[in-house]
Order: sequence, then C-alpha cells, then structure tokens
Amino acid sequence: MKMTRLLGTIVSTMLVLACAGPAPAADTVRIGLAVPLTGAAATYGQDMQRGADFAAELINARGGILGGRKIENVYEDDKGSPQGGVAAVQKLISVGRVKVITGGTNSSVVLAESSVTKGRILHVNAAAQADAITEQGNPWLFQINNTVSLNSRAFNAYIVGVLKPKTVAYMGENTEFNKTVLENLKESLKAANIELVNVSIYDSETNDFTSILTKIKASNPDLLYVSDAYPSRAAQLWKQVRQLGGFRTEAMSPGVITPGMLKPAEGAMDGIYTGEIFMASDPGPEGKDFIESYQKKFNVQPGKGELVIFEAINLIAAAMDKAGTDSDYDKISKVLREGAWQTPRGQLKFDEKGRAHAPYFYIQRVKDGKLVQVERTKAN
Amino acid sequence: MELLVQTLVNGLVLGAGYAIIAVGLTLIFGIVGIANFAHGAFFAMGGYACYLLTVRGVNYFVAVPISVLIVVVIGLVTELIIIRRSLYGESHHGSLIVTFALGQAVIAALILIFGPDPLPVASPLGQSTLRLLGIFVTAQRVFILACSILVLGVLGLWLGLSVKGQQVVAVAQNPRGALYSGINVPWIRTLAFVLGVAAAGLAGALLGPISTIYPTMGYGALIVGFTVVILGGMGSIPGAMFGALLMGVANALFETFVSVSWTPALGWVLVIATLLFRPQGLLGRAQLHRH
Amino acid sequence: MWEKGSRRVVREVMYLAAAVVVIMAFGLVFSDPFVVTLAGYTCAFALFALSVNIILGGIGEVPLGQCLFFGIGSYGAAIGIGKLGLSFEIALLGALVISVIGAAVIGAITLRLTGAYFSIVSWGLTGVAMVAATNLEPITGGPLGLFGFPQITLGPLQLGNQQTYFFVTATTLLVSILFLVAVRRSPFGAAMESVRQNQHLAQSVGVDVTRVRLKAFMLSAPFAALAGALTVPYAQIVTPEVFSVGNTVDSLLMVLLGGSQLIVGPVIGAAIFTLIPQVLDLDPNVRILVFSAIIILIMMFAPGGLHQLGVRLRERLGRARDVDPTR
Repeated sequence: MKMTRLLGTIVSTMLVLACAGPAPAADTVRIGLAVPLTGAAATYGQDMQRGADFAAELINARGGILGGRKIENVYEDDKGSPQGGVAAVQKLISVGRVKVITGGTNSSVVLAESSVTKGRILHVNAAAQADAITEQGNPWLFQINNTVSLNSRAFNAYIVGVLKPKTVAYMGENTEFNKTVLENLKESLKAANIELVNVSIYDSETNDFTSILTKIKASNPDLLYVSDAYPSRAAQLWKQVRQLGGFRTEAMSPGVITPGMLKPAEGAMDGIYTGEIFMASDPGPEGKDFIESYQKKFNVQPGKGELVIFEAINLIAAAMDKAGTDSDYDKISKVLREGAWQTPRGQLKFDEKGRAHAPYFYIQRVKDGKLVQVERTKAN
Repeated sequence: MELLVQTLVNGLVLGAGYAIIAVGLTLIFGIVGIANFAHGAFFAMGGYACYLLTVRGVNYFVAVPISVLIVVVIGLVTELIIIRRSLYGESHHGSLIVTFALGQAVIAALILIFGPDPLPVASPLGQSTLRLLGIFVTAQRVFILACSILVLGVLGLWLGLSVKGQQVVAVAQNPRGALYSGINVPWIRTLAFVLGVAAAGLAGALLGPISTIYPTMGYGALIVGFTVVILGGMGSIPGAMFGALLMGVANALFETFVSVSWTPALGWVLVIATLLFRPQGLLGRAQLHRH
Repeated sequence: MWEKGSRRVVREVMYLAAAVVVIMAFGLVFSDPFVVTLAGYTCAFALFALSVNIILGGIGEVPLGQCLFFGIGSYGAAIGIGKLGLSFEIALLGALVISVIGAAVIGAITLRLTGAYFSIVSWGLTGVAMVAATNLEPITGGPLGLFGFPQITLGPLQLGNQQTYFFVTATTLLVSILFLVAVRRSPFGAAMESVRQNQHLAQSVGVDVTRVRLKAFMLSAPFAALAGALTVPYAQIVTPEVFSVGNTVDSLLMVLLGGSQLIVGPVIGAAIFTLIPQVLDLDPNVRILVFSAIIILIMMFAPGGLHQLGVRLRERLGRARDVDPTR
C-alpha cells in the first residue's frame, strides 16, 4: 500500500499546484517583490514592504497609471538564499503573474534571480550593491542603490581629503561587499600616500573581536575603518572597541548603519564617520515631502531601504506610464535610460549599465545614538 | 612582548567563558549519555531571560541567578517530558535528533517572540575596563573569569565530596552498578541534565552584556562546547576546564599572530587531531563507545 | 509477510511503471515553469535526502556533515564548467570521484567513533569547508560564489529547459531508488541492517562492522554529490552557504517525516516538506517551529516516521476487525 500513498501524495500535489494562485483582477498592474521576509535580513524585508506599499498607495491615490489602472504589490520571501530567490521570482512570474520584478537586498540572491529574469522580464534591483550584478550587461536590469564602488569612492574622498589620517587599519567581515570596499579603500589610500597598517578579515560567526582589536591597537592607527553590514555583530564590535579605549578617528563603511544597529550599540558608536546616499533628517528640498508624509503615516523616519524601494516602485510606474505599456520591456527600458527622474534624492539618471546616479552623497557622523549630517557632497 | 601577554590574557578570559558552557555539556554527555544539541538553546534562553529581567529594571547581579533558575525550570520540564521518552526509546540516535530539533524550535520561538534583531543586556560592568600592568581587561570578562572559577570549583568539590555528587560520578562510571546499589539513576540523570543546562544558561547571562543577545547566539556556543569537550575529554570536568583554556589561548594566539580568516577552522583541526592521536581527549577516560 | 517471488516481481514492476507514468504526466501536463523547476529542484534535494538516509536508516548514524558532499558536488560541477571549461558530464564525474575519495578519507578517520562523535565531527568539517570556500576566492569565487555559467547540458539534454531539467532529475531519482532497493536486498544491505540494529552482535557473528560502515559512507557520498550538482542549473549560482548545516537539517526532517526505514521515505518527506509551505503560506519561523515540534513528537512516539505510524494504524484497524474474544 506504500505506492497508493505515494500516488495519493502526488495526485494531491498536482491538484493543489494546478489550482494555485487566484486570477488577478484584469485591471491592476502587478509588481513582484522578492524580499527577505525571514532570516537575518528580515528587517530589511519589512522596511521594503512598508516603503513599497507606501509608494503604491500614493500612486493609486493619484489615479494609477496607464489610463487609470492601479498598481498592486505582490510579495514573495526570498529567504535570504539564492535558491529561495529563484523560487520566489519563479513564483512571482508564474503564479503571481507580475509584470516586473523588484526588491532584492542580498547580492548573491539578486545574481541568482537575474539569471531567471534575463530575457524574460524587467528587473529593477532596489538595494543589492555588488558591482557584478550590473556588470552582466542585461538591458532589462536596473539598479537603484549605489554600487559598492560608487559609495566607497564618494566616502573615501572625504576620508582622504578631510579626515586625513596618516595610518589606517581595516577590519571587516568576509563578504563580497566588504572585499570591494577594501579594494576601493586600498586604491584611495595608495593614491593619497596613506599607509594601511592592518587588514583583518573575520568570518560571520565571530562575535569576540578582542584579539583582532588588540592586534590593531598595537599598530596604532590614526583611523579604524570597519566594514560590516550585520547589525548585531557590528554593535558588539563597537562596544568592544569602546571597552578597549577606542581609536582617534573611527569610520564605518557607507550605507550600512541603521537604527537597528545603533540601538543595541547603546552609544558605543558615537563619533563614527560614515556615509549614505540619503538622510531623512536633512534630505534637501526634494526629499522633504517624502519624509514628512512617511513620518506622518508610520510615525518613524524612513531609512535607505524604504527609500530605494519607494524610488523603484515610482520609477517602474512612471516609466510604464510614459512608455504606454506594461510589458514591452525594450520600450520601458529605453524610457528609463533616457529619462531624468525626480525622486526624493534629487534628479536621478541611469547610465548604460542600468545604474542610477543621484546628485548627492551624505557624509554622516553618529551623535547620541543617531546619525547626524556632516556634509552633503556632490556625487557624480 | 606586551602584545603576546595581552593575547594570552585575552585567551585566558575567552577560555573562562568557554569553560562554563563546556562543563555543562560534559556533565550531560558523561552522565546522561546524550549529546545535547539543544545546549546552545539553553545558552540563548539564559541570555534572553537576563534581558527580560534587566530591561524591567532588575539589577544585573540579581538577574543572573534568576535567569539560571528560569533555565533550570525549563530544563527540568524538558528532561521530564521529552528527553526521558526519547532517550529510553527505540532508536539510539533519538536523543541527538530530538535535542537538535529542540534547538531549532527554540530559535524559531525566540525569533517569533523577540524578533530577529539583537538586543542589549545592561550590566554595570559593561563599559568599564581594568588596566593592570599595561594589560587591558574588560571588567565584565573579569567577572566571567571569577564566576567560571567559582562554578567549576564548587562543582568539582560537590562531585567529589557530597553524597549526591558521588552518586552522580557513580552513575557516570557504571549506570547498572549504580542502579543495583540502590541509586535512583533516572533522577540522577535528571539532576545532571538540569545542572548541565543551568551552566549553559549561566554562560548566556554572563556573556550577554559582551555580545548582545540574538536568536542564533546558541550556535557558536554549541560548536565551542563540543570542540572543547572533545578536546578535554568527554565526561571530565577538569578536562572541560583545561580544554577551554587551551582553546581560548589557541584561538587568541592564532587570530592575533597568524590569520584572522582561518581562525574558525582552528577548533575543528584541533578536534580532528585529538580524535586521531588521543581520542579520549586530554583528560578523558579511554572509552569511546556510548550506549 | 511473504509473497510468492513472482507475484512480488510483478507488483514491483507495476510500481515502477506507475512511477514512470506519473513522472511523464507531471512533466507534460504542467508547463508552468515555477511548478516544473521547483519539482525538479525538489527531486534533486530528495536525492540528497536519500543519501542521508543511507547513513541514518542504513547504518544508524546521524550524518550531520552530509552537506559536505552536497557542496563538493555543487562546487565540483560549478568549478568544472565555470573555471575549467569542462563539460557538465565530466565536471559531474569528477565531483563524484572526489566525493568518494573524500568519504573514504573522512570515513577512515571518523567512523571509528560512534554516535555523537561522528555527528559532531562531520558537522565540524562542513564548517571548515564553508570557511575554506569563503576564503579561497580564486577557486571558489569567495563569498559571492560562482555564477555566470555557460549553457548546462547533459549529453544532448539542455538542463536550462525547465521540463528537461525536471525529467532528468526525476529520472535520476527513480534510478537511484531502484539501485538502493537492490543494495538493500543484497548481502551488503543485510550486513548494514545488522550493524544498524546491534553493532556488537553483528561483530560477533562475523560482520566486519568498520568496513560495512565505511562502505555505506562511501556509497552515500556520490548520491549527495550528484544531488548537489543537479541543483546548480536551478539557481545558476553556488555560494559557500551550500555547506551550511541547514541543508542537512532540512534533509533530516524529510527523512524522519517520511520514515527512515522506507527507501522512498525521504522522497515522501521531501514532497511534504516542499509542498506544505506553498499551500499554507506560513511564516517560515512558524514552519520551522511546527516541523521541529513534529520531529520531536515523532521521535518520542514513532521513531520510524510517518511510515511507522501508518503501519501501526493499519495494525490497529486490522485488529479492530478481528473477532477475537480473548482480547
């Protein structure tokens, strides 16, 4: 009777899968978001959900696109793994019947997803930063967030030009993101004749940095540069830095500091310099509306995650509207590349690799557990 | 030279933390005869219990023993309901899978209750650093070192001198013989299990202020626990202490002077070497098969 | 219960035919790429669960480090076609060979130990493998992993095509099941079973326990590696996470759900495991909690898995129909 049970399982499987997914209302334009709803990056996924829903709400309130059609967000969990991302995107395309894929925080995941979307559907990577993603040369793939290199170059210019340390020590987790940060740092420091006295690369399980910090202290650097995007570990790290007496100047890789990292650090991160593409506390004239309305609705300021997905949804909607189609991806891509788009960051333009360029970059410093703006520099 | 001394001191205090985790694991392994893959979960629960108390204003030094008590209660319930049933059940690998599943379940529960983000545990010793003879040591770590010595010392004395303690040793050496001489073996096993996980919970409460607490904090503790226990010898308390110190110092030296990126592999290399050349561990008994 | 030999053969050929029909029907009826590729991936993962069960249900150890061979398969295939420019078939073969050699070496060292020791050390080795994969960037692509492969083909079959992918993985799974059934019925299979039930007893009747365990381990490795290689066409990227113990945990759940004493148990478990999240749309943490709780309950009350529960239930129902005045 084992076979009967096996057959039964298979038949019921097929029935379930055949009936999967409700038929979408013919009117809505469905946007698929593959985001991490579980796992270590779950908070980013939640931020994205808020930002995306907020964007959709505003667009629909204005009357929708393409002759009054509303946009609808469909979410799938990418589980923080490439396989999860692939399954999520496949499901969004087949079952969710979406017209475009967006979302994306982890670079390996987005890379896997991009192999599914290539030649099939428009893919707007909101947050993942690896240069490799846009190096692939996919005409329907766009990236909203700065790549690691773009961020690094802007931030390193500040370090070299303004902070002017004589010696620098680097420590960072062993990820692709951080490797690129390190490479860019090495280049910038070499060009300015600043010595990199120590490089320590640790793995993701490390939570005791005493040995590393002791070694770094022994080489007495002017500036400690930490590259780590994981809130709990970064908070621990900085606490331990504080316990060992700290360093003269401290910096952290741009684009990673979030309230979720500052809170558990309990003040240990005060004084750190960093950078970001966007600042809620001082957004410039273009961002004010976005910040205020977001704050009014959610009672909290939007961070970068919410911002990039907000921009992504708006750009998708605007480009589709302007191109007059939701499925001619060649046309939509052309419209995106040729346009100059008004976003909370100012005027955004895409380059030929699909990367978005915003006019400004913000240098920040942590004060009393919050990020404060030091300078608004011109990015290119 | 100063760097070397500082590194050795770092290793020493690191090892002290490991020792508390390991001694609990070795107790359970040696006396109850199961590999407690849920050990990391109890470590995490100790940390979270401490957080819950300190965030409500309880003094840290009071919160720690209360956290241990909470873990004791959970451990007792777990042992009575789950462990006993699966241990004396049909498949001999049952306890491994059960404790593993238990660990997973606890992590999932912690994420659902507290969220995946790390949370700080406030300790009055948290931010202060002592400086002796040019060596930095954080006050919290000195506290951990003191606790470690205390716990291991008391445990060692209790096992050697008290009646119950000697019964525990007897059960470890010869469960059937102990049963025949009238010792209530199941309750001794329960006692050992509860003590073991209490140690894990204590370690969690002590290490919380240093590393912040988060749902998967138990993984690291679990791996460290097992590597130390294999190194030092299963079922041996001096072995746990010795192994912990050795691991702590080896890790610190390797990380500072050799390579940071390969340090996580060090523990396993030591374990494999131990299993190849001295399978019973440094101070363990020459006996490998467990039933 | 013994059936006449020829009747059993007929019955089994019917099972086989039914399985082939189901596979063909599934692949042809469902053109939805999501369903088909997910089914293909599930077949590959079920193959991994099968390899885990060779150890768990076969000789009675918990191979927490089985994802080591899974990773060797994935990276072997990826490095072969990505970095060395080999064809997928050759890269796959190479990965299988490496996994068997690896199993021989590791098995020689660790299988002398029983129970937890073996499990812990095998787990530790996957940790080392993950660190190595992350650090050895020129070979493994580092933390970002290996991607950007040319078209993956197996002989004339294009694995990039969803239906072909499903047919290949499903067929591989079926063939593997047949092979393992044959093994189980062979003298070696009997030796494995005796070792699983009672090592000392087996030793005393002349079974070379160490050799049996080693051979079982070496048998399981290529299946795991094959599974790993077959998942490469699905995500088109291989990262160090492939060595994560989470994969082994998932496969253990599958084996236990379906029943470790049944050869197809892991496959049933894999189907349930992949299906339920799609149908119920649970929060994944709730899913882990529920599955772990189920495992605990299974181990407490029915260590043989759902299969054992099914057997017990049938016995109970059978008994109820007996008109036996003495009960």
